[in-house]
Amino acid sequence: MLKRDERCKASASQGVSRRQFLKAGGILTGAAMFIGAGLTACSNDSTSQSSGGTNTQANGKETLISYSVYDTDILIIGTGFGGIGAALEANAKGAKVLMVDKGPFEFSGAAGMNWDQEVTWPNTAPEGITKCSFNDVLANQKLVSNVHQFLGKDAEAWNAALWWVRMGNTTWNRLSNGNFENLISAGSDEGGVGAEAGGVNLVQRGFSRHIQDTLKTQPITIIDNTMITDIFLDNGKCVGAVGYQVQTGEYRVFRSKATIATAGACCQMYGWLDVHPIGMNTPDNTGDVDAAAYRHGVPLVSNEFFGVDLISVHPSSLGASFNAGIGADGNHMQFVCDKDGEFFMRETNAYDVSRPIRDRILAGKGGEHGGVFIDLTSPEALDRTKLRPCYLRNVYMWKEKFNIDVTQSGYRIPVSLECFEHGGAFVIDENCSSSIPGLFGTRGYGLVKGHITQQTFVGAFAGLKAYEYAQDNDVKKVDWTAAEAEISRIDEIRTREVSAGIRPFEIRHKIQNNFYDNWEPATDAAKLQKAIAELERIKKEDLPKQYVADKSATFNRDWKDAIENYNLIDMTEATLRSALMREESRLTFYRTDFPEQDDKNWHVNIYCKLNNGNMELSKSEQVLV
Amino acid sequence: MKVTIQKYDPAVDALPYTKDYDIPYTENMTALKAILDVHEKCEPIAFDYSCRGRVCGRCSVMVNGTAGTACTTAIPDKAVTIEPLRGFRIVKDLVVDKTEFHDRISALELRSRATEISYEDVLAPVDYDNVFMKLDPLEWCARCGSCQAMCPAVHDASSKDTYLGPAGMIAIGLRFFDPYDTGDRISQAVQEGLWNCIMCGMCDEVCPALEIEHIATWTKLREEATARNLTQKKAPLLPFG
Repeated sequence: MLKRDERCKASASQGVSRRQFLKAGGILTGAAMFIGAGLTACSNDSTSQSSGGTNTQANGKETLISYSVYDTDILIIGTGFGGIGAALEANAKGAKVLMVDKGPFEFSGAAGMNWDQEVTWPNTAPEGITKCSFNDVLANQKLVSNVHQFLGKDAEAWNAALWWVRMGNTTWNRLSNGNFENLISAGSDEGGVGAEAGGVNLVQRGFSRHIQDTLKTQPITIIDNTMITDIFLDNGKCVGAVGYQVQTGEYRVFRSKATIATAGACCQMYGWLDVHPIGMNTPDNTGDVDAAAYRHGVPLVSNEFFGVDLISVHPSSLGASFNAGIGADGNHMQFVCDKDGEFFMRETNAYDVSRPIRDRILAGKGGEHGGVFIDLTSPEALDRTKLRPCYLRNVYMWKEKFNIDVTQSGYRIPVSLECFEHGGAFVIDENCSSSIPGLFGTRGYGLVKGHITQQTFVGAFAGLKAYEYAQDNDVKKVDWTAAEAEISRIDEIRTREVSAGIRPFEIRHKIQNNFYDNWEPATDAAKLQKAIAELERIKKEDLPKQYVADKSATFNRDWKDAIENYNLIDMTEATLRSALMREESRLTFYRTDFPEQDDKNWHVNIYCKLNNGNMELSKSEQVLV
Repeated sequence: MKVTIQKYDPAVDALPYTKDYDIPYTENMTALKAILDVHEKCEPIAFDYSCRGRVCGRCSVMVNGTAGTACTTAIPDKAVTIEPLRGFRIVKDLVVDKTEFHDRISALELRSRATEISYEDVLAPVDYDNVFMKLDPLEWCARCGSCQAMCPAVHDASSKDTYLGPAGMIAIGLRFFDPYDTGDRISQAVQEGLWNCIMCGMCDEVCPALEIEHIATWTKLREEATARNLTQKKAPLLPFG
């Protein structure tokens, strides 16, 4: 019952501009008869459930759902730094590249935040991977080695600072001593944070708008405001992805020779303040593609690890935002104090600052909000070389807009550990490939630092490997059944009618609070078991009752939230189960029942794999060169 | 407190309409919190947000007639009216389409890097007062569109499309101060309506990035333009007939 119209094919295969492409829509438009998928205008059977779209033998209630098809060589899901690296590389090789993003391009996800992003670069090309800044404790060293060789011996290839400027970033301020202003951890062989990498520079002043503006000048197609809800499989291979345009509700199928998932980390499980979880990572990032890959049998890895630092949680509407809140990164610990006003972080030089902060809270020295404090009442706190500019600017904004003067004597800013990055991602091998041929990733290679420069490098390498794969891979003839089944699934989520239904945000907040209450400031077996039991209950009892209050296909928050909740539940379950399995503490992962690091038993990654409907966990040894 | 929100689904409604909602006021409440409260406690509202810190610009709306990012707009404990950002096509309720506005600003970048930049160039000293401290504040423009929505010169029907608007002019100003830029930014500024701006300062009033000094930047660009005798206003395009 499939009707596909190829009228538009010519208009889109000629390399038309982005604007024309957006107006022309898909290169093919498809329409499929779905049985009982339940568009309210066509189906009066409110209890009907869709079972896979194209089965015309069902009870005869047919609904016509149309979708657009977009063809490309390389599909890149996400337009952040990993995606940009991949797009530039594949484009330079001559591939036709299509990037798709859930939000508006340039304003989506972490890269959509135009603020002083961290740029890191070594002084010289590292001689071997032991000196490579992203060869972390549990990384797949074969991948690190491959990326190292891919970048080569030329210092310029490693120089992200130069790359940022060439991509349109303006300049960094130079001090009279020759250093960059706000240069942090200028590691050298003598010491410092970057020392193990042979000297790494870090400057917090990379404004992402310029890179994105420059990307727009390239012959790369960008389809934005389009959420990918599933990868598209045919005959065991990934042949693209499925999703919908969030402003119009139009269903879209992307057919590609190779697909790279760079949709970012899922931090949405980290509690709930007034308008957001206790995490600066954006609400766009809900682990959609990681969860999709997991549902198709690709293992998830590093779920139990989060990147955390301190950010204000009061006023709560401004909480956990780097550009409306006030915080302290690892390098700005001198203003952090406990409830007695003791600047306890001045005594520690711990690489991971979360542990001494959590210990202080566990010792009863935290505030009523469950965290610690930042004291900016000394005059030097307003020196832009002492406090990161993105926090400093909020001192003035709070005063002007909210009449809160944090420099007033005795004022302490309540701060909590917020998550800015989640380790969870689908597993990739040394060539950035997942276990599904044609599906590539940029994150899931073990516990790694996850900084922007690394994302760009690994993204570029993924772009190369996807390009090479696409050379021998033909997707001219594909079976559209799986794509149509996915469209049917997401359509049913929007149109579902249930009595005593629960709106998606209610389920979302339950997932968030259940996770956070059992995670911060530290967790243990009892808390984790409790959290898993409650998550199981939410999955079994609440999720089937989830309903979208607004049935409109036009920009429907409830619908998007509802689809994301399925992904968030999988990512949260993987996090809790991995945490329960890992009987040690390591870096930001802290269990009070196993407070020590145990390299003998736990120098391993934990994989979570779907098997017969159950999440199965296993230990995976670090891949060494 | 009473919150009035403009609703509109172009797929269903002939015209936008407003609806009143009653929600409890909370201390230091932002417009974003009010919208979210209505969405969760009253009925679904189409609205967009991401960073909660005025650097993605997606949540900009009109609050009691003034544009700003909802995430950093403090609201009082009395009646508040929230409408979509003025001057943009409404997607639904408070969500507008800013693609054209954004693409026009991005296009200004086209001439930014005509020649190769070396690491030595990056390492070269920068004049702190006259270059860096002029450039640095302009970086914080998130292109949220608040200035554009409020700008009288942008919305002046008699001289339509003669002025690019403050956000685009900031992008030009940023490139003017950028030591590596190779474009003629003064000509570009004049061509985009530098002299069509009426210097009212509304952009300085509403911009969520408090460090950006719009009028001071226009003044600097005008001084340079005057020195080059580029002092003409841009004329509106006239149709035939």
